Amino acid sequence: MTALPVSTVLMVTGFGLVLLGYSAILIHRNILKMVIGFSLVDSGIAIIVVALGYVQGGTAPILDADTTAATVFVDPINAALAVTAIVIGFAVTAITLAYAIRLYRLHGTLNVDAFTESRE
Amino acid sequence: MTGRTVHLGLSALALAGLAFAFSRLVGAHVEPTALGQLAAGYIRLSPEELSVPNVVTGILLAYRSFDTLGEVAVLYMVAASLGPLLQPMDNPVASETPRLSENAGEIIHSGHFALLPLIGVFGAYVILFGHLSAGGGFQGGAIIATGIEFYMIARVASAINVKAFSALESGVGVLFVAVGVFGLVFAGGFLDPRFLPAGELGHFVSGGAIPLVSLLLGIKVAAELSVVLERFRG
Repeated sequence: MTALPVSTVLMVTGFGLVLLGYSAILIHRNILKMVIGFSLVDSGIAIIVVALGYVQGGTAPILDADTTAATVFVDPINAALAVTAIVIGFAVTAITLAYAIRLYRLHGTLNVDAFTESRE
Repeated sequence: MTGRTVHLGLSALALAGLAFAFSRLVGAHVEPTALGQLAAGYIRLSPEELSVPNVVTGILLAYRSFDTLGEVAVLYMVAASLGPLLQPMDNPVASETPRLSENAGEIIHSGHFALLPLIGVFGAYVILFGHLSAGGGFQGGAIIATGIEFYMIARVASAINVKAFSALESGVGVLFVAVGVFGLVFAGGFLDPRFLPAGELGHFVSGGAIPLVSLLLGIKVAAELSVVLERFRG
């Protein structure tokens, strides 16, 4: 049996986290659990982005004493994009948490079913 | 309740559809054996042009540093918007959560004397060696902000001076843009780090203005994250 490629393992993990996050957002009624769902989606996407940049047998794109002409590197652009994605994920989490605190102060609950103003 | 059942059924359907699409994506992915032209170009040019062995830092702080500037702008907007969002309200339904006990506990209190200097040194190392090895301004700034959060937990009563942090953050932001303008005037374009001598590949003082930009970015990120954390402390 041949071993699974690294990028496949990473992508399955990443997509699994994304699915877990979406299910938390769709199924749970508690805003804090939905925020955790968004956070899981962010982490999953960062893992997928890095996995997509993997090149067979590649190492981190940092040159050092062991680097020779034959050294294969993984894609550095994906690593740079993952940094961006993590920062944006942090921003989303911070803002949604702030809104959760504000809604809790207004209504005394975190259950989304209690917030009916926009439906009436 | 039927509404809830319908909701759960539709959610399960949507998730199953997503799972199917994702499995097709994973199944269709083939690991490449060589880099694309752009990535190969970055890996070739970063050590040659910039004297930066860490190609990711070369991309973040030179080739795509305008992106990085946009990212710190996003962080700044978050820090700024949390102020009005978390302001005390006139007639809240839920009473404010009671303040935690003033005493953080023996283990955390003793631990923060031993760990805070280490966290600070590690953060500074990650920021300053970002051009040579894994690291950079964002990562190191986040580590230092972790230390500041630890300080907030260990000393519950302590106040963090949000104004001072905001002033530091704005000042560093102005310097960041100033470095960018220097690049525009003395080198190839906005935020081009090559207006300072490139130095020798792998030396601490090398890579033109990249260590400087990394330092500014680290201070800015640490200050911004600390403001965000302090806002949540209420």
